[in-house]
Amino acid sequence: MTSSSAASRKALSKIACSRLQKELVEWEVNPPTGFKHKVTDNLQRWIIEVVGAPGTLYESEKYQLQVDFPEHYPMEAPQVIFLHPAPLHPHIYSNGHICLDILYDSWSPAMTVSSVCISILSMLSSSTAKQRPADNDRYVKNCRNGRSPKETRWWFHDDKV
Amino acid sequence: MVLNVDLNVPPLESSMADGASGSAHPCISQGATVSVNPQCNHSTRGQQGAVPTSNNGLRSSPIDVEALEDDVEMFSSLRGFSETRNRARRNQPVMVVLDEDLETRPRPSGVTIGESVTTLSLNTHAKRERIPTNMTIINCDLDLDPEEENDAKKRIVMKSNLEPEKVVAKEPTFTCPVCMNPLVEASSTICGHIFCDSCIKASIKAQKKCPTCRRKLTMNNFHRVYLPTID
Ligand SMILES: [Zn+2]
Ligand SMILES: [Zn+2]
Repeated sequence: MTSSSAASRKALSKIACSRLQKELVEWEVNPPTGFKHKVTDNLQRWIIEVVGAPGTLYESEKYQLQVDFPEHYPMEAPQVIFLHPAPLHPHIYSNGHICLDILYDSWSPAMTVSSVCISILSMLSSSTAKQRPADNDRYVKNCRNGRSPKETRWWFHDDKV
Repeated sequence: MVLNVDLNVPPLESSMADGASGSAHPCISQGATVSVNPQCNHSTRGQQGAVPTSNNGLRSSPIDVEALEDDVEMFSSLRGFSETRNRARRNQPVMVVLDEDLETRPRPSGVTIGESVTTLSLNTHAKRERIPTNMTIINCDLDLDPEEENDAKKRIVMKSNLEPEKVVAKEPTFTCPVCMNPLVEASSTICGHIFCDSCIKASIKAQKKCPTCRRKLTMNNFHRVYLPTID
């Protein structure tokens, strides 16, 4: 997995553990619509199944998200990627990396796995074309050494660039 | 045009659109060494604009900071949020309690009267044209002038549930949006968002901004608050 090396290096801090346990409990009581957390005994890596929302291009399609938490979660963002095969989407690379600001620079410690999931589903749902980002091949090639998307310098440009 | 792409992923897009040539563009990433505008959304970072952006994933309506805050809170601590909500609702002048306290309490704190009579009589005083039917009650005490208020007062069936309300009130516990535990040494930022002292410290250290609204903050931008207790 592209991800694991970077993300699961360090064990969760006490604070991270406690917060994740709370999130898990909250999730069980009130999971975000369209998501299923696959129970494991690994608090540091969540595998979450997402089902495309009705009426969207991804209706009924199932994908899996892998969420890895850093030692100092929630001060640092979790690493979130799609496991293979990643949905065809203009902001999702074929290696599963997701170009979504809240996963990187716009992360806030008040966000949760659940809110991230909702953002991702919303991003999927609003897609009007099933296609890869224009620079998919180049990007994926650059990531071949297993780089985490969190190490990517994400930026956006318009078509003219 | 941007429109055909995603309205929503779009934190990106919306920020780009502002940029000028608002066009649909895929996000791209540079090798780690590239130093141009690191990170998504660069252009709006740190400004209010950044907020909609990031929350955009959640909702497609940009720029309503208030709503955003709600989002964040809601997602971060459902329980805390709804508790806060309920409480807030109680404190709003939603229902008018008309009793002898009224004169001294221009904004009666809402106590549910739960009586159709209430609704009816207030309804007749409310300015219908600007009040959606299901919100009639909410605006009533803003719209009533003192005379009408008195009038209404007479019509309203007095309910004694003011008492039970007081008795039932229990100590509210607020949840810190960062650690999701009950607040420990509650501290408010200058933007008015409340966290545990240690949580806001750690957040500012990590990000130099408010976890809830993303306002830029320094270590001097928060202070302890001492919430009232119910005795
Ligand atoms: Zn806290
Ligand atoms: Zn704030």
